[in-house]
Amino acid sequence: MSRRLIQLIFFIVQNPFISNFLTGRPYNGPAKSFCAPGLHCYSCPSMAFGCPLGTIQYVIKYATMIPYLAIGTLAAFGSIFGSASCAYVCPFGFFQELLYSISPIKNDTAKLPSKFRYFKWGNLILLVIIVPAFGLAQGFCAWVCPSGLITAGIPIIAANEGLRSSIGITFYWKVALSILFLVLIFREKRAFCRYFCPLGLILGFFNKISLLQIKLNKDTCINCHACSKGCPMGLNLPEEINSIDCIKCGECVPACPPKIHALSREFEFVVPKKKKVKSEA
Amino acid sequence: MKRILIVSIILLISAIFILKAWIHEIDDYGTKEVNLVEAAGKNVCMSCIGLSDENVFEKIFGTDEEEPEDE
Repeated sequence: MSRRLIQLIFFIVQNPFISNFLTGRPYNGPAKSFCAPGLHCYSCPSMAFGCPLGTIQYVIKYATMIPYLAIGTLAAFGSIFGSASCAYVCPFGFFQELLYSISPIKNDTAKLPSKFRYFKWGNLILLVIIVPAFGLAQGFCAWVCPSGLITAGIPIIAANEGLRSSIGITFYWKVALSILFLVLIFREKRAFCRYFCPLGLILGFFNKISLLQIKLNKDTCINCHACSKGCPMGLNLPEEINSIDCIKCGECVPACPPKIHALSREFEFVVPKKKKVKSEA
Repeated sequence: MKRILIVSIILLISAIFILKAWIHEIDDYGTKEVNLVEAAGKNVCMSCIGLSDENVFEKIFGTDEEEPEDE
């Protein structure tokens, strides 16, 4: 099954209440007690589950405690799949890939300098943890998250006339920032994931130890870097395989020339069959 | 084998965390963390949709206006 099809299935599973866009009211059933491992605003009218990043900030800000539910959920997914849920489950990742596929300005080789990846760290440490911990705001949701604005803010404000009078400087700031993100997304594949997403970073912490691993056969690899060309995260492969920025999408595996076949993706608990050693008679 | 052991430990801790969120009461009113998560998800989050104009500088440094003193 292709990755795009799996993304579509997860997108439909997470967004079954499309008709809620007409009323501008989010679904508020029991599924909202669970976090889905992807960036998708829980205020989005069609969303069935909670956003782990929003939940982390909300619990830290209003209850001043460790967000056990979101961390437990992310650690469970991360320890098994690493950040593969970014590649298969995340609706905003899917949205970015669709936009890029129709983009007239896309550039497969475009890359901001790798130092821009530190924005992820800043977003996580400062906006997701420190700002809410001091009770100031849900920093990432309030000031940065384009998913919140695009999938929740604009549809809800469009459907509820009464909310329009509340539009202020924060809204205009988020609109300007989201336009900047959209330009980047049209130019670079998964640009928001590459440089800004703190959720991908949290899941990326588990990449080295997760059961799902991209394996490199160093004996057959000829360092042609053909795998780099297939990487939606713009990583320098094969050096950065399973790194904190890798989303384990597996696009690098078929990009490796068939005669070399140095890359594979497998679950660690599948024990390889031992070769029988012929005993000398 | 080492990887499987580490992942098993993380999964165990994750299960404890998720269980704690569902059964541990965080205040005298019997509120659990999962109730907070549910409340966050069921309401329109003003921060998320960009309508929360929270004055962070005011929160950090306080307001310029002084409270009137009682005479």
